[in-house]
Amino acid sequence: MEIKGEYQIDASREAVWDALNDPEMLKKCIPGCESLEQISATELKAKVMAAIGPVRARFDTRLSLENLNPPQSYTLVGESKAGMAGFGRGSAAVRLEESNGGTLLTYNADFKVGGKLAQVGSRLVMGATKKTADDFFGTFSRELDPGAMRMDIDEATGGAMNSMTWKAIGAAVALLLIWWFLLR
Amino acid sequence: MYEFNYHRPTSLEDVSEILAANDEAKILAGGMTLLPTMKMRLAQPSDLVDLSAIDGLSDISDTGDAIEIGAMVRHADVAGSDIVQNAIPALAELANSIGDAQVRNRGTLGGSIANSDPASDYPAAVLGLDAVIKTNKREIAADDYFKGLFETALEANELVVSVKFPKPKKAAYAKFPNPASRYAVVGVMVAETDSGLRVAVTGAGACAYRATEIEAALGKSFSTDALAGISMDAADLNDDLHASSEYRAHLIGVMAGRAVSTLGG
Repeated sequence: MEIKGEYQIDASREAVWDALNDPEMLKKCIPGCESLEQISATELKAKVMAAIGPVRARFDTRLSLENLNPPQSYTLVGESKAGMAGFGRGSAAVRLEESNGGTLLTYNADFKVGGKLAQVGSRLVMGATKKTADDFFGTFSRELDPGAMRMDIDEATGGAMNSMTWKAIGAAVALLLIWWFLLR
Repeated sequence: MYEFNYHRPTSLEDVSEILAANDEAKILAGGMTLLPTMKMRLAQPSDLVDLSAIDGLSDISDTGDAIEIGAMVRHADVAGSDIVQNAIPALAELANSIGDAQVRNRGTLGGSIANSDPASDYPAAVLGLDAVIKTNKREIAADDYFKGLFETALEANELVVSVKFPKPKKAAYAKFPNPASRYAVVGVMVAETDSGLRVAVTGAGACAYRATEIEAALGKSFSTDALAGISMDAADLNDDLHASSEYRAHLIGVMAGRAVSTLGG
């Protein structure tokens, strides 16, 4: 399983970049984030309540921003400790490209766990990471642009229809109505 | 050991009250996932609400066109039930393939589907047999129930009361178990039900889901040959130390084939 995704956001690349570096914004988008404080220009400290299935544990997380290449790319690196339960280390490489008058955000995430977490949870790590990454980047993109669209998967086949599909359906219905009126 | 409050209410109303009063309360059914998680300190609920003293959650009954199984019915009781064995033998066999004897004697149907572990067996039966999940608030169709990794349509403070499995015309479950845990690396339920042919897959994705490609192929011709040309997309499948996503994709076809051949196709 590759944990990656693409979002088309209707905002300038600079605006998206600024948001990616804004602690308040990150706090809003990290699932279960209870507090977040900046320690240095590129380091943050967070308390995150991870609630996935039966697991409900508070993680002390250190976030750092690496490979900074404004306003094109950075790597968000996180290290979490959950006391006796173990620890986790993950990263997400984020890239921003100008596209269609907005910004195309691409991410590639990875996560590893150690300690007891690994003994019981290793089979679930990929799934949990994917869910967390999907939640984070989904929320982030929609914070900037409520109409932001996931580009790499066809959401129509997944059950929920994306706004493009609705627009297409709307257009088809409108055409049918016009046709019906003309034929009467 | 850290402290928590233990409740053993005798009615569903009392359960709701306790849950409403305690944010960090957890429901205890068989405890086969919750207790190890607590021992590992990965969950520290303030309150445990044990369902074992509530009447009416542990019955198996034949309602004519369906079998209704209470949320607190243990896997071993489903496996050994004459009613289930007669009406839906595939369901009894599935229950008998879960975990080990200890898990089957403690684990419950309601606990399993409320937890919705991606590798658990029951979700394949619930979805494959087009079951209806009865909760303390409403009835939920299987197709609307499984939402994602450990995610179901259940709301906070909503609990499973029973599951109604319509009797299928025929059904078979085939799984590739992890040799140690017996969790399904991939499990496939193939069923011909009143609502049509259904193929439900567990173990492969974030939660149980229907393999519509296989349903379409088997709809044209119910035979293992019909599955020959199908390759499943591995992109969103689970990938862990037990199996790669490509291997799981391959296993879906193989397990579906085994289930179909059990049914004489």
